[in-house]
Amino acid sequence: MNRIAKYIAVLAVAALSLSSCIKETFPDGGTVTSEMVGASASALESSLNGIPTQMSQGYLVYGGQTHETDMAFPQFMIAFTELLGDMYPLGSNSGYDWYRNYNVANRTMGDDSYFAYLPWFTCYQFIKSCNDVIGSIDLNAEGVTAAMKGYAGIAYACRAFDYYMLTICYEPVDNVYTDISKVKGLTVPFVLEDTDAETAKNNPRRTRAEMVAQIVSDLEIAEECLKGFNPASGLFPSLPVVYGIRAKIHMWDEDYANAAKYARMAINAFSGSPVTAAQWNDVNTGFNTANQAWMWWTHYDAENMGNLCNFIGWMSGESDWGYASLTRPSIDKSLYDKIADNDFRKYAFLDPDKYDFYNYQTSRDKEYIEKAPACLALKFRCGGGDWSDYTVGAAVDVPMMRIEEMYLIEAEAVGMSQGAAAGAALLNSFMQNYRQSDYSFTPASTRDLQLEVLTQERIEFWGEGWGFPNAKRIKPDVIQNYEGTNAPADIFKINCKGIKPWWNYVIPRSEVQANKALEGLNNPDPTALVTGPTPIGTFGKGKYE
Amino acid sequence: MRKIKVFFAAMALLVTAALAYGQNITVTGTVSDSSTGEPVPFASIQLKGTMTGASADVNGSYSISVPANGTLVFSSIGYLNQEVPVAGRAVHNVVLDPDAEALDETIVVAFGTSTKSSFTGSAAVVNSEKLEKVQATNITSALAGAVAGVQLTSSNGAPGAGSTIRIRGFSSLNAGNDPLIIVDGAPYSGDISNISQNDVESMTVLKDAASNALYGARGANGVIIITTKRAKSSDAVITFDAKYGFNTRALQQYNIITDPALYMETQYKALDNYYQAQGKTAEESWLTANHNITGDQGNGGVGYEVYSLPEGAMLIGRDGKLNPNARLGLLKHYNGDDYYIYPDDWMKVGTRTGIRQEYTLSISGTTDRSNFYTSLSYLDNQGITEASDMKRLTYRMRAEYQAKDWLKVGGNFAYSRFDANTLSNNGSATSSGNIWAFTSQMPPIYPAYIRNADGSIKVDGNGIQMMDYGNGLNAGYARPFISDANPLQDSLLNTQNSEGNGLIANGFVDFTILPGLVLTVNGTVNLDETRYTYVYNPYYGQFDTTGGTIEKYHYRDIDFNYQQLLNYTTTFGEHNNFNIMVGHEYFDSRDYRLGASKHVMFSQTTKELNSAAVDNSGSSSSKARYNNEGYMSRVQYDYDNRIFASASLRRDASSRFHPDYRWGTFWSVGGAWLISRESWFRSGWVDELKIKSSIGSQGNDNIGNYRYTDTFDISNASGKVGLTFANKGTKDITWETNTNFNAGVEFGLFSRLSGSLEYFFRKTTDMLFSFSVAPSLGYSSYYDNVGDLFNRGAELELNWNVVNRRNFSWDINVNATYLQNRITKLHPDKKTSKRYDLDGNEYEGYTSGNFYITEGVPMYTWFRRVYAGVDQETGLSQWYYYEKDDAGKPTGDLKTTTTYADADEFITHKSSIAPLYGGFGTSFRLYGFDLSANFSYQYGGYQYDGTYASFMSSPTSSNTGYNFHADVLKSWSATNKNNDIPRWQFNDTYSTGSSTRFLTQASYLNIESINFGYTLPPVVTRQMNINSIRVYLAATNLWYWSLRRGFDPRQSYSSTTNATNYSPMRTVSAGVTFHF
Repeated sequence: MNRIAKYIAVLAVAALSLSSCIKETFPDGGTVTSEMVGASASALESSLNGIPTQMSQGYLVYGGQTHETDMAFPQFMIAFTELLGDMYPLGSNSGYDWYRNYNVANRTMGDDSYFAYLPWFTCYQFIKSCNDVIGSIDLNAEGVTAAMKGYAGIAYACRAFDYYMLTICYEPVDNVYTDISKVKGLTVPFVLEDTDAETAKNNPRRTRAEMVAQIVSDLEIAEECLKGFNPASGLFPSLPVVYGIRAKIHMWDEDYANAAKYARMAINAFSGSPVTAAQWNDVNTGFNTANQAWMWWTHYDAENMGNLCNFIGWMSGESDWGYASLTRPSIDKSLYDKIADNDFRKYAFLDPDKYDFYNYQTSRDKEYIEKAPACLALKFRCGGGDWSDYTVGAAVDVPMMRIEEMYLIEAEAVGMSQGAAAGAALLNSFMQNYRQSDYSFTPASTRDLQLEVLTQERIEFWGEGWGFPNAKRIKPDVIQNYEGTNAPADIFKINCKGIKPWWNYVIPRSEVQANKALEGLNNPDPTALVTGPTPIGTFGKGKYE
Repeated sequence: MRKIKVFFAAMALLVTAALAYGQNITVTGTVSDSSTGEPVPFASIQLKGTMTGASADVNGSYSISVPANGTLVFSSIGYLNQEVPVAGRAVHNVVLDPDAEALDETIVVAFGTSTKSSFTGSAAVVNSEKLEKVQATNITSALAGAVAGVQLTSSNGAPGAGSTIRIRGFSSLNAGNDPLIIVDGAPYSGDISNISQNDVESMTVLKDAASNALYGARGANGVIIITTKRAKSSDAVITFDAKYGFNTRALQQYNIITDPALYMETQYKALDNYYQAQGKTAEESWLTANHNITGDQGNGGVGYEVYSLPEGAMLIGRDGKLNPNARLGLLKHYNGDDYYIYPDDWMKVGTRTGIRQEYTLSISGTTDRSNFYTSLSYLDNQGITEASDMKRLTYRMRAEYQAKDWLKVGGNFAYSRFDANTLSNNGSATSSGNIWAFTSQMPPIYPAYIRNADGSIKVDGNGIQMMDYGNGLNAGYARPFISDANPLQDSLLNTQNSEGNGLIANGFVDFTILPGLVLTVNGTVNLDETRYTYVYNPYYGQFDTTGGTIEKYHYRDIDFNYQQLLNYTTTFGEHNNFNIMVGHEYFDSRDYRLGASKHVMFSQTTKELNSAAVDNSGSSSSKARYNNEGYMSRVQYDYDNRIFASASLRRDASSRFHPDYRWGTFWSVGGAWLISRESWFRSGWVDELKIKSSIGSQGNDNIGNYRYTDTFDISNASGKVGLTFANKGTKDITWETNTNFNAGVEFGLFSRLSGSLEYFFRKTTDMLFSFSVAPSLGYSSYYDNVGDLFNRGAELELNWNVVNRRNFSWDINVNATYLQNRITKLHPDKKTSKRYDLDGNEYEGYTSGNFYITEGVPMYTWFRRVYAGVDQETGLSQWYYYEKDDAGKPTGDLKTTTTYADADEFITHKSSIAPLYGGFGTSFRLYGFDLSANFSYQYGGYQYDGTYASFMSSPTSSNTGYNFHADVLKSWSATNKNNDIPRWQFNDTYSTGSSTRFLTQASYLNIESINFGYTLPPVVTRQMNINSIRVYLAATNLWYWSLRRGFDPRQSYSSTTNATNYSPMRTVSAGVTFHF
């Protein structure tokens, strides 16, 4: 064999062999790297769009199916309602209602619990998205367009809202079950657009005053930015929403004059009006389609959603997917009884005697209603009335702020700042005009007014949760064991003086461990401090009475 | 450019060192045994100082083309080597002297082969002889107990499911711990189940640096080299093997309550105790408990009535016993229909005996220039539940051809076709989709079927036998235990199928450029195409109102591996033998995904998207890519076959790191001294003595892609693109490095006993950690290199040839590994909390799931509340806690509490890592009969027996209707004090709160395989023109012992054990093997 041919063959192979080289790889699917984002012209707009998408993103915290309560913003709507004791699972298996941990006695709610981590990380993920947008826009730069200012305004408003959510969950209030003296008045750490990982290692809980100032500052920037900008849809906060958030935070801060002022500004700036009777009980669109009363909402796209982790699947008394068909979410009987028979809001819940005074409309059939548990909630309807196909029925709007909230905040805030009668007048006017024509309430005291407004909020926002922040402030007692209670089991039958101790959320252990400034400054663990059943007419005993 | 320079420089160096090229002649002859005169089949013949070689056929005949002035080395397992100078003669008949040491076998090592005596590293081989004795659908499961230093765990016993393999401990907390699998020289990332067991010649486990360093980038966790068969004999050998057998459940059942009456009595007891504790009188309590026991879960009911009672009678009497007039089975009229409620044995309904059949035909043979092997095999392996099975057809063809004296080419092509049905939610104890959650935990009171009044099973309008979903369909009864679910029926109505094609194609070319200088170019493609079909029925279960849902996914995983190796073998002087290798390797892996789903199906029998009407808006596709590249070199040296040395160096890059940080350097040096070959070494009883040692380093990049940069998810923002933050990246993360020291001795004694003892020390530095941060940052962790840990231990292997006669032989083998694992360094930022052990010692670290990670303790150290027994006054469980000062530091003594939340979690100093494990086996041959048995064992370590804990827990308002362990009958009560099991009372939520009470010692002994065969006498088979016929019985996974019946510590080290995993299968088969 001639050697030359051999060497040529060898060299040819060798040359081919050595031409390969390692390649940098990029994902090509549902994920992009920051390098790819950096190279995109529409990155800012896409990042902004990510904010409302995240609001309803299933499995936001755990990234995959761990628990169907991991559902971004709507988790708070359900959790708050259960915290108030306004909702019970009356299905054959209440065990599928994992949110009931907020409702019942003797549950693990300590710093290593799922229910410490979930809300905390949810809100701070929202904040991270806002910070990313805020950090990428320099409002003082020359040539900042109205659109860019608008984007920034949206991010500032959202961030203010996220800190409001954290504040109402984590700022502790006095109660007889736990000692909060060490942490009284403390909210949560600030993570802003310029907070780096190093700062986060020693990032203290801010006082309420600092928090209110921060939120107000964000809202002032948002107000400035949104004056000249109309967001693309109600998925983004607009100017009236900015006023609304401000009313809410002033309310929490018991700055009633400002709360009243901003609630009114929101009402005036917003062109809509409260939900009508027809809208309230519409079989196809009831509380699943934004209308003139909705100021801000989130939306489920079928592409981003599974059959279990969605709001309608949890809360609709008619849906057949998800957990509602197993848990049968229902209103607390005592709250139900507080709704007047001629208040159309009552028709969102099944009467114990069923068709006695109202001809319930449903996308299911009459037999379905007859077999359903008393007090079952029909408030949140399946999209288009489609109770069988979650890709249609759950792909709906979910309200985050309705104008009714502003009327009710205004009523209490005016009452507290200008006298109970002035507040009652506003409450009576709202109720008579929009809810129950013969409604009339005369308060004996400002507290009396507060409690009545709270009741109306719990009815109005059943399943939306907005009674919770006001209740936590007012501390109305939580009574779930009473004559005729429809609480399904002993563990639900608890009565708490003032508040349930777990209304003060506990900061997750992972935060305390990674953030030195929180050492020894967590809220007390409320686990098992109240045991059920509490005998009727009594309260669970507290250590600090 | 730089690479090409390196290549030429290396070539130039080798060319100048080249020897004269002599004239080749063909040498033939026979090889026979000096003691018996019988031929030695398959002896290997090697041209001394080169890698050129051949092997004798079954009759001991050989033929080899070699230089006329060369020297041939004849060797065979069990014989001493013999060197014969060719001296120009064309025929050499050689007699070999038997060597009881039997050490000098050829073993497959990184990028080549070696003889065992010259090998400086640590490797263990499982050969085909041993592999034939087990029935493995996934070939790596044959490693269980077979090799020192290797541990297998598996939490899924389904057909074809794999095992988790750990070699010499656990090297990383967050990066992968899986070994690298090499199939015929190329990294393999496909499904191991695509490889037929019958095609595997050997599995070699490389354990130390000298063995692994050439796999630099990915060798840190050890390497398993799977080598497929090639022909050994010039006479064509045709082998046909057929096996037929049965699969049954190997996981034992806990000692649970199986009598419905006893179950109801036990439930009643919990309620009665509860109501009495609430202050009710005995009479009130009796009435209330009886009223609630069959009612809602919230009040402690089980939801079903399965006993008929006389009008007005109570189910349970005042004595706590079932009413003697109660009769099992209840006729119930409900909604205009009649039902008969009668409990079923769910284990019986949900499991089956699976049939396993496997047929293999192989043909192999060599000619003087070629080597050919082909095989066809078919496996049909039914699982032990409906809808779990695997069918596989594999075909392989391997051929090598010496085209010219300087050119050898070859190819190895394997195709497999598979079709498997699988179950879902394996191991989830509360999942509505997990069959095993139902069969393992269901108490003996619930019907599996819905029955007519006459006891026959109802059939619905679609002709389906109705099973009970516990959702009210069965006479209105709702089962509290995983209600609205029946995965047994789901498995019959739904489809979870994967079918596809696996292809491994390998081609190589050897150029002998000069004598001793060989360039090998090696290319491998591995393609795995799988099509998944998921169909959810429209009749029952979670998707019942969707009209039937169908999901389709297509996965295409394709890897390329390309190697160029330049080997030079030479001898200086008389005794200095060198082998030098330089090489380059490139690996590129791409995964493609495509999926879509629709619902409202035409019918359940058509399983394609086009047969459904409505799109689910869930179409998806994605692509991922990973590649790495390495340059390597190795020098092997031996002096007179007595002293051996090796050194290697490899530079590696991985796409998982940022371009600036992707290259790493890995190396090894090793040496061995065969003392017994020294002329001064004289010992009548020591046949062989070798000492060896090696040290080196390898890398680990097993952390997933794109960890070095921030990533964002793309989602639909109401018709626009929305980006949301996904993961935080760290630019400068790089290789986790594993430094590996090995020292050992190999010996042969009394011509009967051989073995080895080795010490190893593996240190991991720059450990890749998932680094937790304050979640307020909006992300929870990122990867970084921080922290060190080590694994050290010793391995012992012994082989004892007890008897060795012509018609009677008996061998025993034992291996044992002692392992110690310690975390030695944590980054200060990782020390996020201070925690204590029971003695008050303070540790700084962090909790990770069930474990506490801190310096000075092993990985997988359980962090739990510590059970302090039962408070004998109240019957409540007690746990320990320390009283603490304001700073949280313990003051004073250890105390006990009955409040679960007040108890402290402690560092238990109990780890799931067992200090001692291994295997043993024996083989026995008497005339035509042969018997072999292999066992695996583990001693020590602790596992959390989660299923026992759940069987022992008191029913609560949110948890009733599961089964109880018989041990609850021994619970504390006012009349049964002084015991360790807390009171049995409804709503005692934390009576079985997670604590050390359920940490159970994880020792076990398992019979891996027993194989009993009979080979028909040759006089009989020769008349049939068949070389041999062997009939046999093979049993795999026959039985295991653990410290509690039902408890299976073999499932995992990193999580709790659980009886709701797919049970391991016991397979017993009969088979026959023909050799033609």
